[in-house]
Amino acid sequence: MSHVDDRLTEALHDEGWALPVPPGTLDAIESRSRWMRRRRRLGMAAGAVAAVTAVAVVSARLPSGDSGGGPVAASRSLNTFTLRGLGDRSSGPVLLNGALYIRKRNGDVVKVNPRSGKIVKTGRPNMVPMVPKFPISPGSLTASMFVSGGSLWMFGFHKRQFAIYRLDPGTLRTTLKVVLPPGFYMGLAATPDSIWAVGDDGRNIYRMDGRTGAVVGRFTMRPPLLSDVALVSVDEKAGVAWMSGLSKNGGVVLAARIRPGTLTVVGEEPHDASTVLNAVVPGGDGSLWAGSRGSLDRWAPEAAGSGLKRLPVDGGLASAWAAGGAQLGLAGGRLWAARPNAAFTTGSLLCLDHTTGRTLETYKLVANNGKSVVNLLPTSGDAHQVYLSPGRDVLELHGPDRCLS
Amino acid sequence: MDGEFREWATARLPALLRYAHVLTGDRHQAEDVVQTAMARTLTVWPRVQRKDNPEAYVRQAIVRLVINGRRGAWRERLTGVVPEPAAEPPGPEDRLAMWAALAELPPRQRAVVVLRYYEDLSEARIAEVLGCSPGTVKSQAAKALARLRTHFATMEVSE
Repeated sequence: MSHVDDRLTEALHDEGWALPVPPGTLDAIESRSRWMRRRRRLGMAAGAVAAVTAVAVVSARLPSGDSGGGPVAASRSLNTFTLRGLGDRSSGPVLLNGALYIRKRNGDVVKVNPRSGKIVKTGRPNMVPMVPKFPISPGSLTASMFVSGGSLWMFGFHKRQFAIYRLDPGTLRTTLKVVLPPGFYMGLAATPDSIWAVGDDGRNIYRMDGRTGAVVGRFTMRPPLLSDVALVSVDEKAGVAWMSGLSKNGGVVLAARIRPGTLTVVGEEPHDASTVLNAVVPGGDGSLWAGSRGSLDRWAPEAAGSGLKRLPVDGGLASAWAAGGAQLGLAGGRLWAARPNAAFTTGSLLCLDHTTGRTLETYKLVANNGKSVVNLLPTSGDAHQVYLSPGRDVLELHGPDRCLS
Repeated sequence: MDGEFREWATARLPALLRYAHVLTGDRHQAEDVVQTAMARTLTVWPRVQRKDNPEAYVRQAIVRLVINGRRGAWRERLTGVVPEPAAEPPGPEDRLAMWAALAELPPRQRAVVVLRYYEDLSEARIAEVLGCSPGTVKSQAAKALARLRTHFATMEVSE
């Protein structure tokens, strides 16, 4: 060892670095652990993903690039690109104005050019991103970044306040911070024009302008849920908001009609949204897909009066769901069902009709180098292409085929 | 709290605090990252206890918390709290100078130095802990030593 090595070793092993254990440390650890468990319940998807690495979508024309491992020929045209510097864990991507935005686990946000597959900008919003219980906007999967009013937003937590942060899509700097009204928020729901928020006590609901974040509507829920209230989706056109939470009957999903000043509950069904991952998805016509262990239902409010009606589910989708291990998502105006195999080495991605669940197209996903396939659902897209990012790879599925134009 | 976790934590906290102190140079930051890392470990204790070495798991969490922490805030403090030497080692001025030099290193470079000279880990293992490539470890180590060299006239770069 050199002289420097000796001095470094001596300095680092000096007893002067020893610290006494402060009183109450174990209690503080337990308290923090309880808080982390609660946060984890808000976003099971983020906590459940482990060892997410490269996934290759099979294609006869696939450039494998750095993914390694030979792709298996299939019939879909697609692109895949590997992003360097993304790390093993990230969320997104979110599509805005032809660019992809991904939040890294360390809090950085990166902007990606999907044509070149390169990171073109990196930023670090000064906040702690919050993982919502349900996707904030359809197709976002469970992630803190979303689009509304043509703006890029993040749902976060800073200095003991829940807030939404608007990012400049070019510089990735925070241009606006909107503190949410006092309360604990398990998530938000974004529409093309608005951002909706409800505190976990379920009493007051706020609607904010999707571009400015200004509160433009306040609603009271009647009757209110007991606790753990989270917005699943808001369909402003249909005038329906879907929520999950705890009522006196236990875990439920419920539909509420949006009226001036109030959200009036019209019906609820038993459903514990915390038991099955990625299983509650808006149906696009005011309906709701709600999967539980072994069955998949679709609900809609009765046209008149109160109550929910059960809508038919395509038999193929119902069977696939009953077999277990499937997840649902929404992207590009399509319903997606993902099913890894038992060993998590391959998986199927089904593109489904948004309202009936009829299978439009099937994609086979194969892991490279024996690594696991998880997070198979697209997180963003439009009618022509969707994006999924299980790890370092960002996969673009595009048409024309029976799913994407 | 799980009884086994409590027993294990009680036994290991002093060593983990010291490890975090060496990494951060700041007592309060060390206490904070250790609490956070231990809280995370407690949330997954059954899995960690069953499959992994809990100590390695926590130490890796501590390093990553330090590196991914608020780098801006860290850089504002050019010198951490320099500990009092416990005994009468030869050349105390040199030792204090080394501590001060370490405090000026960016978090990742300091982590590489600590893992190499305090934990005695190999380059490959350091890369695994930090979640980067061995090449990055090598370059970070070289940069760290280059910085430290400016404080000591006779410093040599080790292979």
